[in-house]
Amino acid sequence: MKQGNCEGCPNAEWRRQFPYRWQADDVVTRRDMLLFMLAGSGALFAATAAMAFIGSRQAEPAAAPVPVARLGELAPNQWKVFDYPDRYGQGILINLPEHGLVAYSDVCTHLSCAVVYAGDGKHLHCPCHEGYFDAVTGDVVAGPPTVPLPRIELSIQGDTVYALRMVRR
Amino acid sequence: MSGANPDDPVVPPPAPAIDDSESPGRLAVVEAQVYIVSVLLVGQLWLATVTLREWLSGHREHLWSLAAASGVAFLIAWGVKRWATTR
Repeated sequence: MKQGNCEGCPNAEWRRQFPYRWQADDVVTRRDMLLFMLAGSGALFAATAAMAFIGSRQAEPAAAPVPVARLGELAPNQWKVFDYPDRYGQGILINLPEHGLVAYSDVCTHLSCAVVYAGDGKHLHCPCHEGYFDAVTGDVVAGPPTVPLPRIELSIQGDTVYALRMVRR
Repeated sequence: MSGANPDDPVVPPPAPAIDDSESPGRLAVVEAQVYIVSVLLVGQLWLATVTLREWLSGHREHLWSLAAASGVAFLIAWGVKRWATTR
């Protein structure tokens, strides 16, 4: 770095007494900062594109139909939880008056607490933060959740109710 | 007058301030570049966060749109950097 003569500077005496190693300092100019930020912008774009690429290549696993209940097992307004799609996840099966059997993932879309059926034919309730979902559609009715509950498609074969697949919304 | 420590090597003083009288306003242009790219960078950080959330929650239909938006932001940042340096 080119150093100028500072004999005439107002703080020349101070600089003589407290010399500072400017050559060893890591000076970052505005232009350097701009380059760093441009590199950061490129890195963020690359990271976002990588997530999109990996995410789009992952196929939803084709789960085999899982028997979850016997037909007639649940009286109107009764409900049960069942393991789906594996033993680490759970769904909730409800026999709604006038609508029949419906099933959702029982994991609240807010902070993953387990939701329960309110028993009124209308709502599922998350007791952790007072979230409410529509029992017929799974849509958010009240509380902090913003995303509907994933619906589990059902199929009745013989006298057995099967869970076919989970539909995220 | 001697320095604070006579054993210290003699260090020349820092360079005087850059004389920008031949290109007035140049500093303002560079600062504007930094501010604009800062805003774009914050937006890209938000886009990356949303992309991660969508990916992990299984919503894959918007992933490429979010990546494209981040790419547009990067191109704008690159353009801002290049526009002022080539003028």
